Amino acid sequence: MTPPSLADRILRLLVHPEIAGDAIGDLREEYSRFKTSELGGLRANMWYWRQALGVVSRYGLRRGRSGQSEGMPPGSVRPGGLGDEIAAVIDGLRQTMRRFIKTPGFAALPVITLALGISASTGVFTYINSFSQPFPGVDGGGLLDLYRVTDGNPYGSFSYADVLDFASAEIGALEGVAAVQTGWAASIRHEHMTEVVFGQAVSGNFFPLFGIEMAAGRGLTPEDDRREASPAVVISHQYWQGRFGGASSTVGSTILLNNNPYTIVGVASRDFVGSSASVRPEVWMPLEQYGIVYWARSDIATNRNRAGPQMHVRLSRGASRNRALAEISAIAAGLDADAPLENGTREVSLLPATWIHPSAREAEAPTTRIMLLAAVGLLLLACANVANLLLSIARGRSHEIAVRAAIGASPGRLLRQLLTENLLLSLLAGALALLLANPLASRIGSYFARPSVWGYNVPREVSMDLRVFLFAVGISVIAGLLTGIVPAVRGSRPLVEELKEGGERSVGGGKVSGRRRLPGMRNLMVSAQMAVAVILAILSGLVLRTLDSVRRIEPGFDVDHTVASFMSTSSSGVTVEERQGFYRELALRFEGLSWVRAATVAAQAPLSPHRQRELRIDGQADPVSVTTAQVVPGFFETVGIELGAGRFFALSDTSGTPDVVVINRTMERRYFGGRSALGRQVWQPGQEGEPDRGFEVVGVVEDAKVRDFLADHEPVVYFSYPQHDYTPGNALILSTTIDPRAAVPLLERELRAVDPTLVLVNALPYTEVVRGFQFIQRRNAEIFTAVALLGLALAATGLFSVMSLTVGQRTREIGIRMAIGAHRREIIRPVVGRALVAVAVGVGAGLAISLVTARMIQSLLFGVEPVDPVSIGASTVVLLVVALLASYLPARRALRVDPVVSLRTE
Amino acid sequence: MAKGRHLGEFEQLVLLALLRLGEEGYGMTVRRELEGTAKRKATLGSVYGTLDRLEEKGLVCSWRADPDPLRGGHPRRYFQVTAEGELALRRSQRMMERMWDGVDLSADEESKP
Repeated sequence: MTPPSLADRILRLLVHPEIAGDAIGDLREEYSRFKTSELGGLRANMWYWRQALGVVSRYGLRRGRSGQSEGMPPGSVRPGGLGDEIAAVIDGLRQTMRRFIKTPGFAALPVITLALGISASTGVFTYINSFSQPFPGVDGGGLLDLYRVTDGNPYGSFSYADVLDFASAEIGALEGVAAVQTGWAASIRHEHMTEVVFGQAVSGNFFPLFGIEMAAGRGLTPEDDRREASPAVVISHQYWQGRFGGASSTVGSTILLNNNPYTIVGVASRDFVGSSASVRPEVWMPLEQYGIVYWARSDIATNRNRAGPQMHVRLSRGASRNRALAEISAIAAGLDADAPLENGTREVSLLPATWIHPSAREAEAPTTRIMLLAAVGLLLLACANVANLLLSIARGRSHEIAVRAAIGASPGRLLRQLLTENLLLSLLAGALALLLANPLASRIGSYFARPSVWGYNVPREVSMDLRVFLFAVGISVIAGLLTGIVPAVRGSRPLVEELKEGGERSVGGGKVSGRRRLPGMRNLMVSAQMAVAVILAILSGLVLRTLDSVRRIEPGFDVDHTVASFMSTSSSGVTVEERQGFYRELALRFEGLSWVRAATVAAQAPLSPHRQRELRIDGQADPVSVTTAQVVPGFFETVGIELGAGRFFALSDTSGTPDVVVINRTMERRYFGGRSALGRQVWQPGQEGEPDRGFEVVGVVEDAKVRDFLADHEPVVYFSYPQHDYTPGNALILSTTIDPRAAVPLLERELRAVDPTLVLVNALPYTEVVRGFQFIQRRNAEIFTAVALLGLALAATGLFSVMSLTVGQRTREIGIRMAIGAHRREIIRPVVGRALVAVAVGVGAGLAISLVTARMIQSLLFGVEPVDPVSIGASTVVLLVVALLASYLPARRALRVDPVVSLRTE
Repeated sequence: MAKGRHLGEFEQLVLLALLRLGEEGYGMTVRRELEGTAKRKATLGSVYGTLDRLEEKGLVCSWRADPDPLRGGHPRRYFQVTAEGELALRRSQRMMERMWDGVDLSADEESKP
C-alpha cells in the first residue's frame, strides 16, 4: 500500500515548498499508520487525497505561509517553476475580478460589446448546429437515416415493398430498420367538433427501436402493425394536454380518425415531437393501418417504383456504418435482381439521423454560410472596438505597469498578465453571449412557422448542446486574444524613461504627448471597423432591396380580397359521388352572404402544390409535363385572374359536353408558337389501353402564380372540375367585401353551421399566404439589417471614443495654442481630418471588399444585382454621415472648453 | 485587552492540543488530538492555517527537526505554546468561566413555560 504520488506532485506544484514538505511528511507518517489499521487501501488513499487537497485549497497558489504578498506589488514573483507561473496567472485573474467588481464600468463596456459580437456568432452557430441534431426525445446513439440515391436526388425513399424487404432481412450490423410516413392529416371527431390533426405512420418497431419514452400507456408495437390488428394509435403529449386535459382515462379511449375508430394505447413523452422537423405530429398510427386507409386507391403498397416511407436504422453494438452499408447494399443488389426498378439500380446511402432533413440543410447552406460570415464580421468589428478601448485603458495604466517592470516583472510576464485579463473579459462576454444566443437562434428558427394554405409549418426548434457551448468558449478565447494582443504587447513594454521624465504628469495618467505610434494603431482600428461596417451595410441594403422586389411581385390574381380555405368531407359522410354537388351548394350558400362577393371551389388552391400531368400538345410528338389545376365555373372571376382570349369555363361545361380546357399565356407562348391556342387540342394519354382524351382550348387567361409565388410563371392547364377526375380534399376560395382577416372567423362559423363534422384544415387570407412565401427574404432582411445596424453603432461609438480620447489628450495643446491666439477650428481641423482620413480609408476598403462579398450572397438576391448602385450609395452616405457626426461631436465639445481652465487642470 | 488577542474556538482547541502533546506537537499530531480528545474533525490544511496564524500572533513558536525517512525525508515542524500563548489561553478560560457563572442549562429548560 503506497500513498498516491500524484497527490504529492500536486502539492509540490501548487503549494509553497516548505508547506508542501510539511504536508507530505505529515501525510505519509499518518498513512503509514493506516497500514496496520483496518482502513483499506482505497479508503486510505481517499483520506490522503482529501487532506492533500485541503492543504492546496488553503495554501495553493499563494506565496509564503501567510498567503499575503505583503509589501510586494502584485505580479512580482520569486523565481520558481510552473507552480509560480500558474499562481501568477490566477493571482492576476483574482485582481482583475476584484477590479471589475469595484469599478464595473471599466469592464461593462468591453464585456457588453464583445458579448454582442460573440452572441451573433454563437446564435448563428446554434442555428447551424440544429441541422446535425437527432430528433429530441430519443436515444440518438447509432441512429442513421437510410436513403435511396438517384441521379436527381441523394435523399430519396425506397418503395414500401422494398422497405418491408429490408426490414425483414437479416442484417447483422443493424439492430433494426424502422419506417416512417410523414405528413398526413386526418380528421378527429370529438363530441362537439371535428378537427384536423397531423400525424406520422410508423412501422411497429419504431417506438422500441428509438427508445421513445411514454408519458402514459405504451408505444406502438409490431403486433399493432398488422392489417388484422385492432386499430391503435399513440398521441402526442401536447395533444393529450391540450385536447384531453392530460386525463389518465385518455389511454384506452376510442377516437374517430376519419370516421374510423382507433384506440389510444399510449401518450408519447413531452420531449418526443416526431421524427421530422417540418411537422409536429399529434398522432402516430401503424403503417399497415395507414395503408388500409390512405393507400387504398393507389398502388403505393405494391408498386416498387413509387417512393414510400423514410427509413431509419440503428446500428448494432460494435457495428460500423460501413459494415451496415455493405450489408444493406448486398440486399439492395438482391432486390435489383429479383425486382428491378424502372429508373436505375438501388443505390443506398446511410447518414447520421437528423431531425431536419438534409435537403433542407443543403437548401439553406448558402444562407447560413452568409449569416455566419456576417456574424463573424460583427465579431471582428466588436473586437476592433474593444481593442481600441483597451489600448486607451492600457495608456492609463502605463504607470502601474512601469512600476511592475521596475521591480522585476519581465515583459513576458506582463504580457501574460494583460492577456489573462483580456481573456477573463472575453470569457465573461462569452457567458453573457450564451444567454443571448439561444433567443437569437430561436428567432431565426421562428420564421419557419410561416403560413401556407396547408397551415402546418412549424418553427424550427433550436437547442444548445455541448458543441454550441464549446464554440462559444472557443470564440470567446479567440476574441480575447484578438482584442488583447495589441494592447497587451503595447502595454507590456512600459517606458521607464517615461516614469523618470514624466513625474506627476505620468501619474496623472496618460497625458504624455500624443505623437506616439499609438494613434496610428488606433486609426487602423477605426479604418478596420469602418470597412466592416460598410460591408455589412451594403449586404443589408441588398437584402432589403431583395425583400422590396419580392413584395412587388405581381401574383396575377387578387391577393388582397381573397381567402383560401382547405377542407375535408371525409368524416362528414359525404360520398365521393355527392362531393361535387355538396361543394356547389356550399359555394352558392357562401355567395348569399353579405360579406362574400363571390365563392368558388378548386381541387387545389392557388399557391399550393399542384399536380403535374403528362399531356400531349396538338402538333407535338412527345408529351410534356405540365402543371394542371381543376376548377369550377366562376373560379377565374372569383380569384381575379384576367381573361386574355376566348372564354372562361361555363356551367354548360359538364361531363356530358365536349371536354374543354383553359390555358395560361405562358402555356400558349411556349407550346403553341406564340399563335392563338384557341380551338387547339390538348391530349391526356389514356390509361391501360384506353384512348387518349382530347380537350379543346376554349380560353387563355393571363398568367397567375400557381404553385410558388417566387418562381417564374409556368405553363398551366386548367380543367373543368365537373369534366375531370376528383382528388380528395377541396379548396373553398372566397372573394370578400370586408377585410379578409375578419372574414376568416366568419367563414369558420358558417362552415360549422353547415355541418359540424366538416373538417376545416386551414383558412387564411391570401395576403398571409404570400407573406409566407416571402419568409426567407423577410428573415434575411431582419438578420442582416440588425447586424448592419449593430455594426454601424459599434463603428460609430468606436470612432466617437477614439476621437474623444484624442481630443482629450490634446486639451493641453489646444489650451496653449488658443492662449497664444490660434483659432479653435484651426487646431481641431487637423485632428478631425486625420480621423476622417481613417474613416475614408476604411470606407474605401470596405467598398472594394463588398464587391466580392456581394457576389457571395447572390443566391439570396431577387430582382437586384450584387453590384447595386442604390445599396452601395445609400450605405456609403449613411456611414459617412454617421462617421462625420461621431468625429465632429467630441471635437465640438473640446472647442467649447475654456483654454485657461484646460491649462489649469494640468 | 487589545483587539486581536481574543482567541477563536478552533485556536483555543489547537493551543490546548499543543499543551497536551507537550514536545510531540506538530501538524498531524495536533489533528489527531483534536479528533481523538475533542471529537472534532479537522483537515490538515485547517490545522496548518491555525498554527500559522498563532505563530504570527506570537502565541506559538516552531522549529524543524531532522529529516525523517519515514516522512519521505521531510523533517517534522514542531510547535510549542509560548508564554504569551499561555496567557491568552488563561484569559479565554477566565472569560468563559465568568460567562458560565450562574448559568445552569438543565434548570433553564425546566423553568421555561
